[in-house]
Amino acid sequence: MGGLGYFPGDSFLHRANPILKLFLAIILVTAIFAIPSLIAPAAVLAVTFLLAVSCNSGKWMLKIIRSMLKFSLVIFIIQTLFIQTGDTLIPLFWGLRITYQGVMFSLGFVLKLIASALPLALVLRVTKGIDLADALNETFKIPYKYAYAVASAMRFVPDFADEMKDIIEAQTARGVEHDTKGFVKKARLLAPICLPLLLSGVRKAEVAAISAEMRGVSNR
Amino acid sequence: MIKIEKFSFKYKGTDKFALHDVNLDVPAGAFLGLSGVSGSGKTSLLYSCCGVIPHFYKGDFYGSVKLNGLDTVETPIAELSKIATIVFEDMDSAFSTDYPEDEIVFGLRNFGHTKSEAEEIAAGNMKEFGIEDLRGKQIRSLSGGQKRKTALAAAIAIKPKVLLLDEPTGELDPEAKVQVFEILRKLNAEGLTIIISERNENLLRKYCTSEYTVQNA
Repeated sequence: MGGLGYFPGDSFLHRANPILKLFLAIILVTAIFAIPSLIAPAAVLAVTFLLAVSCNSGKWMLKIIRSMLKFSLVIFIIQTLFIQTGDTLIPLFWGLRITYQGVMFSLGFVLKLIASALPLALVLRVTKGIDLADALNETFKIPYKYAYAVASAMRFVPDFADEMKDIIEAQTARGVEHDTKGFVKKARLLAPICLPLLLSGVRKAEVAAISAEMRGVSNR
Repeated sequence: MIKIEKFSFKYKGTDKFALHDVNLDVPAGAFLGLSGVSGSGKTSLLYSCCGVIPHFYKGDFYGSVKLNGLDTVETPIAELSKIATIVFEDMDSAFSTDYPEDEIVFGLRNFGHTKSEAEEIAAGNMKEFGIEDLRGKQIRSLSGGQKRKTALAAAIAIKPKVLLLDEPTGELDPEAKVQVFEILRKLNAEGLTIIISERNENLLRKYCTSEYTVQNA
């Protein structure tokens, strides 16, 4: 089913004009922040999910939501603890408390965060990067080079994931225990991978840019 | 087609010359093989022939490199790309799109073809390279040989006068290596100037019309 990025298909969303899809996604995201109610993000979430189902990507969207829930939970807890105004729901230690306002605000914040990410993720799911770059260039006169750079950024996500997997497997083969549930331990094991991964990413981006230049991307 | 005179190059931040006092004249229609041990400067020489050095890799540049009469230092890369193109060793990073047909269309669109024109040319090109069955398949899922053919088809579609290839058969099995060289021989016979860096000297001797051994510094 893939992660972020294009997934082939022949649904009406796949065939729709890339600019129209982008425009609709922007309208949905704007609505989330413009309407001061929890109904807006909930409605956008529902509409986006139905659209995803219509192009055979319902399971993919649930997977994205599930992975977002993990860090949303951390944000929810921190946010709730920071808001100390309003009616107390649960008194905590050191004078801290969980308040009704804190819970409602944090819930809204997390819901908006998740709902606002999904429409754009769905656009990338049903639109080829090359088509999006063409459309941005032709409709908004964005220089093709930049439109292409923006549209093709997602292509590297699976490469990064593969490379990270390779490094983890290589380290596991040499006795490093990556199969741990401890968050701190996992973070400590992953930290040394970040630099080589970043350097490799820069090198890949450099080759991609030169390759595109040598096939005339500056001529457009 | 390519004239290199008293050319030396040192990458920025290094003390050692990557290439030193190179003199090379590549006539139009040549099929030149570059040989040399690892680190001898084959890739640097290929990069210099098409302007990747010094436009993308900076450093101390001495002498002159002319591509079809154009000085590679003074001529913008957009102009140089109309004459020469390069197929990189690191193919996976060099692809600009996710699908073989899009990869071919990408270059054609950059050179002024409309989308429908580009798609039509790409279809013919894929047939010519025997990769029409790869349509709709993600490039990342293809085998090494299929990726090579896709990269070659995409490079050839834009009709360069010079094609540069950096170790194009590195990870391929012997049969696929021969297939790639057969395609190159056919393209060369049609008038394309080819410069290829390759470790397998037997292949160079069999297919190339001339050979140059690179020895840096």
